[in-house]
Amino acid sequence: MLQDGIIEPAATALGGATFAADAAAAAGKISTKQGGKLELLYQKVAIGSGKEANNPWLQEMPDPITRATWDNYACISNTLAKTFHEELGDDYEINADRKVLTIKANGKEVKLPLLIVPGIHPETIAIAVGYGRGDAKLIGKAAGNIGKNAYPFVSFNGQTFDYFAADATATATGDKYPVGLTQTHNSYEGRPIVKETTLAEFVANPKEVNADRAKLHHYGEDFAHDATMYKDVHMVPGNGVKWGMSIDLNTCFGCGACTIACQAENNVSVVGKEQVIKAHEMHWLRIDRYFAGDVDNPEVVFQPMLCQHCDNAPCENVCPVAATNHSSEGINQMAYNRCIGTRYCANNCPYKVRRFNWRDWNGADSFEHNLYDVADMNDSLTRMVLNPDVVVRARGTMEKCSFCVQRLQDAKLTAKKQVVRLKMVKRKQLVNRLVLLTLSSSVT
Amino acid sequence: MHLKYESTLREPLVDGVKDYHQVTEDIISPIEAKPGKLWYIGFFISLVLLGFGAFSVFWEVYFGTGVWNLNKTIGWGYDITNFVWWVGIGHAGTLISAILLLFRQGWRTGVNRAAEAMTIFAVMCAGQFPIFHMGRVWMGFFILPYPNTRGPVWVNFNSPLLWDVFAISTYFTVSLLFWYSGLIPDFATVRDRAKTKLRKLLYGVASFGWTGSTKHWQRHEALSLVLAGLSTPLVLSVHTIVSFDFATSVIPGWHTTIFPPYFVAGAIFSGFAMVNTLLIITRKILGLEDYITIGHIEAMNKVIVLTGSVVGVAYLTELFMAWYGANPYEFDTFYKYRAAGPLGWSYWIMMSCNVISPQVFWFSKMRRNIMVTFVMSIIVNIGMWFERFVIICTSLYRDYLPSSWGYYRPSWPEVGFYVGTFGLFFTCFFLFAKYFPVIAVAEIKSVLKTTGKSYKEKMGKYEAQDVDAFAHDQAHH
Repeated sequence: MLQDGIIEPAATALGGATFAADAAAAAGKISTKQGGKLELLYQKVAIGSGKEANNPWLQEMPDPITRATWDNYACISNTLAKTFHEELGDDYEINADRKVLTIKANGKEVKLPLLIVPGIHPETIAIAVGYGRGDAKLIGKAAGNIGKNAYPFVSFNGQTFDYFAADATATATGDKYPVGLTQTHNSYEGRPIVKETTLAEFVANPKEVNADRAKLHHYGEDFAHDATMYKDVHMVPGNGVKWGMSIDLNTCFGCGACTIACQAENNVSVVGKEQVIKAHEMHWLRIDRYFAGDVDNPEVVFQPMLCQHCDNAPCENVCPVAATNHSSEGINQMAYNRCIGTRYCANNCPYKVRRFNWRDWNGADSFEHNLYDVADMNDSLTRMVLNPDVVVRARGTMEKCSFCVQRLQDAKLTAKKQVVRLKMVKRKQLVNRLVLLTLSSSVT
Repeated sequence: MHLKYESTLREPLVDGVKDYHQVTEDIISPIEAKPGKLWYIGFFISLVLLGFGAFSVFWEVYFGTGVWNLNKTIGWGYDITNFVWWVGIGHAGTLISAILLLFRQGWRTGVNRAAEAMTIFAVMCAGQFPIFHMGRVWMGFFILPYPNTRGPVWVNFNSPLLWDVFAISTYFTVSLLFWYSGLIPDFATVRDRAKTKLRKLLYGVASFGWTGSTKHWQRHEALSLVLAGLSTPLVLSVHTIVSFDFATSVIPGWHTTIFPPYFVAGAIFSGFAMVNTLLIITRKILGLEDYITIGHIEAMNKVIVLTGSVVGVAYLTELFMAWYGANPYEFDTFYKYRAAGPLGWSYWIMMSCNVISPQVFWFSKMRRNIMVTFVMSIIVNIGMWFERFVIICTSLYRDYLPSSWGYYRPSWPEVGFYVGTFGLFFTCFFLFAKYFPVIAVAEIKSVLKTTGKSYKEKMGKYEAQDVDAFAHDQAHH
């Protein structure tokens, strides 16, 4: 996507489709000078040209590929990074401090931290525009003092603007600068977390994708039932509604819009760059991005990750005060008022989707002067953005995806009002109707 | 009076020429004298550390757990590491007072008072961590199952954290009772010797009107035995339950059936090391070398080498099972991210401190060397701290989903909290060393005439006597 990130002036609006049409033409125009690097300018999906820079949600939305927040940076390949004595690995992973490069092109220069992006061309440096908008007092608290302005690199060729420069150079400054990533490990380590195959392979041999499950057959035919010592109370027919959510991984291309939709719907707090570096971000729904295969030419897979609402959930039986428990409709629910914040549930969550309120992000605790608000999101006006159907959570409590229980409840009530005699409707029809109503209420 | 006899092959437990009065003088007089300069310096440093700890905790409670460097992946770090470490240290005291009492190990009399005190202070320190690791500590009482007005809201009896609450509070209560009941006759001794009115009053209240009558002694012995019986299962159960916090979870590296015995052995291991650390200093400063002899230290070093080796076997068993169990996640945790990986260094500190270095205690010369013992006691406790760190952090930082993998470094309030518990521990210990008899006077007196060096030496003439004459003189009284 980064390689595709050149924005032709004729197509300033975001859109991969527009761009794909221009790619060949664009590539034809570009040729690097001997010894120089190609510098590309692109728009991040969240910030765009910079017009969204003052939206803290979008600043904190991880970039689909780099998983970085609140900054722009110089995307380079692992090969190029090695010339600056940096490469992918444990050290790169566990430290947020990135080496700062001086990038010169078109007679302009800018200092930006490097970020290694597997798959980018080794002679290419990619920089997002829309950052470095100036002082917070002038431009706003979210956009102020963030990143560096890359627009000076844009040149006019007489007809259009060139969002690239063919004679770029990069040198290390010796400085370091921390960048807040929400995901630091790139590989899924061959684990059966994401399964990839091509359509042709799948058609030829449809069973191959789940071949690894055959190895587990001697543990029992049905893992969902045989792997637990608990009595199965979750799949008993006749229990009424049982909620679930399906996500089409074939369709997902990792844009992150759902992350922000969830944030808006559920009053998910913004924590700021410093806290992202501490891995304190609050997103209930995230997109995991994995690179697979060769580091220089990898495949990229996206996996939306949210609470799986496990039956027999490991988080539920470890909570000493039963603050997280199972609803009769199959939802793993949180009673925020009951939570005392031991974080045991989060430790025991195999998907690591639970989010702890490390600080008072939104003034919901009873201590004065300890609000941690990075972007003026708690003044009376801005708080009107909060969804009144969802509570804000106090510092020290755990939270996570609720499957938008407020919408489920709303849908059930609507159904009750519309379908006057529920008894007359067969259960199957009812469930179908509920699903439709939920969908329609989420559209409205 | 029967002749008290113990084989001269057994090492005396009390050195020097002592009679009952001398024992009282040796142990009680430091309470009556003004403490030395070293005591004031040590006490002051402890108070400073305690103050810093209190400030660190205030900072965390006020601004939120986020001032710690825990994160979405690693929800427990220094907090629970320190909790398990302190609880483990406490175990030696209970083992010495309860199990060694039931096994009639006479050498426990020299060290049991201080070891029990250590238990109580260590459990006090341990308790701070589960309390203040809570995000909303002011709601912590939710964890107590009592009839309440909050509707039918009850605790979750499936949660090992709840079991911890019961285990630790029972442990603290029983240990405190055991310790205090042993102190009563000694407090009465201090009271009876007191020359100031205040001392007489305070120790009088503390000794609960003890007169030393036979009835009092009989009840005292009965109570001790009952409490020993209650404490004995606690030695095994408390750390078993602490290990359930991990063993019953689903995280690779935590979900391990070997944890209960492994944790108990480790607890005794670190506890005895801590007893050594404290007693080597105490005997020196209070001049109690006659009561806490090299023989006592050697006995504890033997326990250390035994439990250290048990722990070593447990580590190797875990490694074996991680391979043999054929669970790819567990294999990765142990071989890629625990013994190697960004936190791998902590595993090798643990291995060298806990398994390799205690092996020096196979040699009698090393066991009886004060300096070696002191250094080893510190090394063992560093190793045992890292054992808990390894279990907690190297399991969490790279678990199932690589997208969430992270790293952990403590922040200053986390370190400050830990340092603060040292302050709490040593503040208590310094007060104990000043105001309490650090050795159980009554119990030493009970073994003095059997195992005192000067008494054993008098046995020579009896051993030379022929059997008939001996029987005539001694057996038919």
